[in-house]
Amino acid sequence: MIIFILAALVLLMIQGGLSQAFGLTGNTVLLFGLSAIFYSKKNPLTISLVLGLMMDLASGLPDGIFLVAAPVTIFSLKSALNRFFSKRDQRYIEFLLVLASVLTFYLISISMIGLFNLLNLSAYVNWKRLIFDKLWLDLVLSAIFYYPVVWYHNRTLKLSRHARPV
Amino acid sequence: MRFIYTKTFRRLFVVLVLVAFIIVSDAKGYLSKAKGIFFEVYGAGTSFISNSAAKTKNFFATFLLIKGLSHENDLLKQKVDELAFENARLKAAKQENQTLRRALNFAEETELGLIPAVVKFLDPTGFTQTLMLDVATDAELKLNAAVVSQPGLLVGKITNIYDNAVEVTLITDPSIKINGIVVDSGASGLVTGEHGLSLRFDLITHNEVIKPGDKILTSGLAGDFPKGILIGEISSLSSSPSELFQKAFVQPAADLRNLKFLFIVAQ
Repeated sequence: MIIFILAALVLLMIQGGLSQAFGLTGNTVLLFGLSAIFYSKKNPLTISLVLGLMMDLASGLPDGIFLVAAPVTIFSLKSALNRFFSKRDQRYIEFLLVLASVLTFYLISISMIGLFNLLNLSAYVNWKRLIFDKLWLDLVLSAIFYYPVVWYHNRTLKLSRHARPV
Repeated sequence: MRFIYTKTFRRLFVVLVLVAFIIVSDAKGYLSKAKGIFFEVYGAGTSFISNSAAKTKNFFATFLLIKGLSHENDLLKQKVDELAFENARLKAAKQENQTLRRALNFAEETELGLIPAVVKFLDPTGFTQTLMLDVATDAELKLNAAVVSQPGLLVGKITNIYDNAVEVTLITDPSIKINGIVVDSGASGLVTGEHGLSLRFDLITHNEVIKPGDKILTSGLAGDFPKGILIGEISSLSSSPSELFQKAFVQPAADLRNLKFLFIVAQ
């Protein structure tokens, strides 16, 4: 778990650094969490909470927004995956789920920001810019960034099948 | 079994308490120290990655720039070849011209005596279109002498001479007025500055034909500027048939934003 947290922290740093240098904004930390949930059975609740807390700390928003948004997103997607797609080939559906997770994450985050505003916790954001500008870019970047994860997973699956004794 | 006794409920309850605790702690400022440590670590890491990414970006940008320079170099080489041919042709024409002048007893054209100068600084306020030149102390300088860049492109004229510097007013200053002549059609008019942006070619009669792309030289009529120095190129026409004279905008031939070495015409 410590290695996972450190890896997530490094990924968050990379995301922040690249955002400063190139202006790229893809939410790689969320993708990291999703891939961990899809491909690993290890404590998804803790993983999503840690990721949410990290995003909260790194952002200028009050703590708690991503702490709620990340677990809700990840668990709703995990639930959808288990309920509807568990017995099918997940390679292509995963992309759809990733895009859906980005969309869900945005919707929940914006809802949480609205809730924080109601509680006078000063969480102002330009939601129009978020929805009409940043969201679309994030969707595209998430699909691009997630491709290597799926590719690597498929490759390791094939290798493990070949290695299986007859 | 009731839901409240399930493991899921217990987990959910713990998470909700944790989230509430973090929200309240943050709102009250209890997490400031922990956040400070996180910001130190995250900030250091992010700045390291950002700097590394910026260096990489600059490296590739330089690479692309070099690639572009190579292409530009090829184009310039081609241009040099063309100009070398043109130069040889013009030299032959010049020789023929001199021979004919001698035959007709015309006065010989004098060569431009050029005094080299280095640009010291530009007007930092931007209120005027002037620059200061560093010139050799033994140079014989005259007020209103023309200043050109190396290929014979008009830059401005001397408006003040100090002990260790010379003030030059650029041709884009509205106070400068130059008698110009269009190379192709021979149309003459007055070139004036347009507040540092471009030049205006005015007082051209309607029977003269001017068009964008035409080059304008100094006509040498007023005496300040010697004849035959390139002022610029007509970028667009701005006159209507109802006006008394034709007008045009002129793009200066010299790159006035990037001046380093200049020459004072000591003719």
